[in-house]
Amino acid sequence: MNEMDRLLTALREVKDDVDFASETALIDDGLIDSLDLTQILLALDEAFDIHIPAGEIEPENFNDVDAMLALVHRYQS
Amino acid sequence: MNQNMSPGRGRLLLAFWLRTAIFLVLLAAAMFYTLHVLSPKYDYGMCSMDNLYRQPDNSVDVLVVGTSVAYAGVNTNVLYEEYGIASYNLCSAEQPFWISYYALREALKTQTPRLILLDTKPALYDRDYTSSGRIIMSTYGIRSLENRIGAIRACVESDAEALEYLLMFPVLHSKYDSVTAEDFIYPLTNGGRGQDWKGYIEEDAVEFHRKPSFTWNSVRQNLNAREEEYARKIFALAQEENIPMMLITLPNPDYASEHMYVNALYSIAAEYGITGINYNDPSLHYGLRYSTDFADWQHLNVKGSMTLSRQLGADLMALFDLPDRRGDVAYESYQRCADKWYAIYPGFESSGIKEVEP
Amino acid sequence: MSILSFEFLCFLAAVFLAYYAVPLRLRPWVLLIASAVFAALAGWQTAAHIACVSMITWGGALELAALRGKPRTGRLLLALLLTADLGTMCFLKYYPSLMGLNWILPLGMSYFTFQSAGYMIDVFRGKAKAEKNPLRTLLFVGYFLQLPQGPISSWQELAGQLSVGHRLEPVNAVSGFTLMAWGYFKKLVIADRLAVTTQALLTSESLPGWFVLGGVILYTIRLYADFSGGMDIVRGYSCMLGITLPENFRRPFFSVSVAEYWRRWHISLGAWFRKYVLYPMSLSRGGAALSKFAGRFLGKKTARSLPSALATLTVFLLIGIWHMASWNAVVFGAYWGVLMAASILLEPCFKRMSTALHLPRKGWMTPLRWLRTMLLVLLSQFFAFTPGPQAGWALLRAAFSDWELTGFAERWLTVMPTLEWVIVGAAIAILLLADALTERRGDLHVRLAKRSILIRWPVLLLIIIATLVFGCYGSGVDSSAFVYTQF
Repeated sequence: MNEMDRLLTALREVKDDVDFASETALIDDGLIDSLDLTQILLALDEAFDIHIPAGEIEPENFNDVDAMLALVHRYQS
Repeated sequence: MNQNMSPGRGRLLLAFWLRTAIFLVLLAAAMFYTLHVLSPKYDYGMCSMDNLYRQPDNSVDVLVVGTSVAYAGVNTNVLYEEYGIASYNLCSAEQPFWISYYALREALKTQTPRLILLDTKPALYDRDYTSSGRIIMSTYGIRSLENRIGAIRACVESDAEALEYLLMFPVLHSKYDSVTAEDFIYPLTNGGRGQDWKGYIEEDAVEFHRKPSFTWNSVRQNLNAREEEYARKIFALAQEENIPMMLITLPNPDYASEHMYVNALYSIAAEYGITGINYNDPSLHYGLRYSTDFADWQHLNVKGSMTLSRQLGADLMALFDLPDRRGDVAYESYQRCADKWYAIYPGFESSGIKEVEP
Repeated sequence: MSILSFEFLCFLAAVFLAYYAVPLRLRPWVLLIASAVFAALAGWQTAAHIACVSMITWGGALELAALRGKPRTGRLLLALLLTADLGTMCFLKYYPSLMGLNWILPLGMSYFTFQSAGYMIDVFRGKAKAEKNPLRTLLFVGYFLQLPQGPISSWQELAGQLSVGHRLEPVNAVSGFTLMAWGYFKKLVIADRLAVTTQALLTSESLPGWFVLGGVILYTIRLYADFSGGMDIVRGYSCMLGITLPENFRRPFFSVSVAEYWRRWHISLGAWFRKYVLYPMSLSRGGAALSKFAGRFLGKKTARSLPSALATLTVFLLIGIWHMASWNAVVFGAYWGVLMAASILLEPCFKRMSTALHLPRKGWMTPLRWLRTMLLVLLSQFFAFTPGPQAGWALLRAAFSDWELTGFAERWLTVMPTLEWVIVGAAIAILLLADALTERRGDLHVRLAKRSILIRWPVLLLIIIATLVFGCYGSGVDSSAFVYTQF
């Protein structure tokens, strides 16, 4: 399973009624809220075995799946 | 500003500032009208000062400055109809000397009376400052900023309070609950009397009183310090402007307790070469009847004002060289005012005085 | 200098003219000088406190940036700085009131303290660049418009705007002015007029239930009009200078859930706590460990939301205490904390229930959800303005007892005469309409600024004259100061 699929699976576990693959304004449009964000972060930590600190919670990092993947890559190295 | 401003942007900014200026003018007009609607338009308040501006420049010959006893006692219609004296009552209820001073300064900008009559009543007032909002707001008739600020500041103790009265909205805005249709009319109607009004307010009631008994001597009692201060300023002003001034003490049943203060004021005035007539003098007989001529313990009623004004007119004509304005086209408003008034109050026969020669 | 005073309006006019009169690059100086004058007029305590906090912030931020390579030392320094910054605020807030002393607190201390703390944390996290120019830091901390009541801005969104001169944009000037006028309307016509009803509620005599309930509803409206009015004045004027401050209220009484309510009420405070307390707590290693541990007993989703729930409880307790050092505040904070934490933990449960019962998420459920949210908000208000928890409880019990309707009108008329009720009723109706329109179509003041003069000038004149005539101000009227300034 490639990284994007791993990401999407983890995301769908948190929230199953949002189309993460195609949405580009997840935070700005209010599709995910603060609780979802913490759960997503925990899910990402688990899925990729990394620790993303709280300071990274910004709209730029979570508005779409590409930004999230980039964030994951930053903390994998 | 910026040197590299494009002409398009320059036009944009110019349009903006122009629009802003016009808007501010509209806002000022709206605020002015709103304040007019909310102002307490008492004939015994701001109306007399306000209506003075409508008199032609330098037309008033006798300017009466004072309190309610003056506006009730000096019957301008009698003075004009029977002597041709063009007089105007620049008075408001409980007007202290400090308001009179600034009102007088304001009046002298457009009028040069041949005589100023100063009501002596404030000699009795013992308040250092004016706490009644109603009295302070009688200064709203004064148009020039300098004199209005002076009058209001003289009335109140703190500058913060003065600012509230000067801004007008803080003290007036809550009056929306007593606004009537008449308040929306501009200009003021002077209690329904119209613009011909010369400041006389008729007191219609009749209250029984007795002639006061007291010793006619020259015992004096010190005035309130601030009242004295401003009385002196008024005297000095008259001297400066070279206008004859005379004190006038209107008759009232309570005079026994007032006598000493009035004496003190007369002696202060004497320092400036100013004399006066005291209509409480027992030796004067001009037909005044305490049983029928008073509306309350201070104010002459209609009959009383006619009685007094007949005597006053005769005294003024004897003492001063006042022109007879009857028949003068420029003084039509006086005639109109008198005609309207006499239609409501046909001439009373004052008892015990011989007919006055016209 | 009260925001409601004539002197303040003259001050604002002077600053506006000065700002646009000087060349572009000198404009930040106008703001700095204006802020210094404002702080000085507020008292030496305010001026000194701001100066100290901004010095510590400026120096601290530079040090933190230098220590980016040494995270452990950096974290230690940050802890020290935050203790100094927030600790001083806590000391000044709570010590005098607990000891019964009467100290004059610096104006708006809570707001600029949070703001500077946020900046230092952001520098530590590498999210913001440390500012070398101490004057820029000073302006960020002490910008005079945010002193009385906030909002709390982040360095990234505000500092850049303050340190650069802005060109005059007529649309901004007009929309900002309109917003300001609207803010004064809300504050003077609605909030200050309703202040008397709150006083009436705090009398010790026994009150009928409908009076208590009505009074608490009116208190809530008053609080909203007061606080959001103040915010509109501050945001509107900043907009005239080309500076965008964050929104603090987004029509909170249109919320259909408590979570949404706290995203629409006092937004900048919630955002600060979310960014610097909620997320770090939920995502800490301790939180992750807790979630793993709980995963053994609870469902995966519930376990994952446990750290957030605990963090939320903490945040609301802190928000409660931030309001004042009293047990009432603790009750207020605990109420919301438990409510929010429970709603987080029970979310999956509720979802299953509503699917089983075939309840729609939208449609006819929405008004019910709205009603439920409003009732929960109303309940919390019983502990917001009463002197203590016992008084709050007593008031709450009173609200549900003695509903006899005799003397209904007379009782309300003892608070205010009929005409005043008509005025405040009309004003609240206008407020409701304006909020509803904004909710559907966007900020009204911006839309109005784009319409023609024939429409916007009469509206503006009407708002201003209505505020001047019907506002509660001037001596003889107890114009209570802004409710949120003493924080």
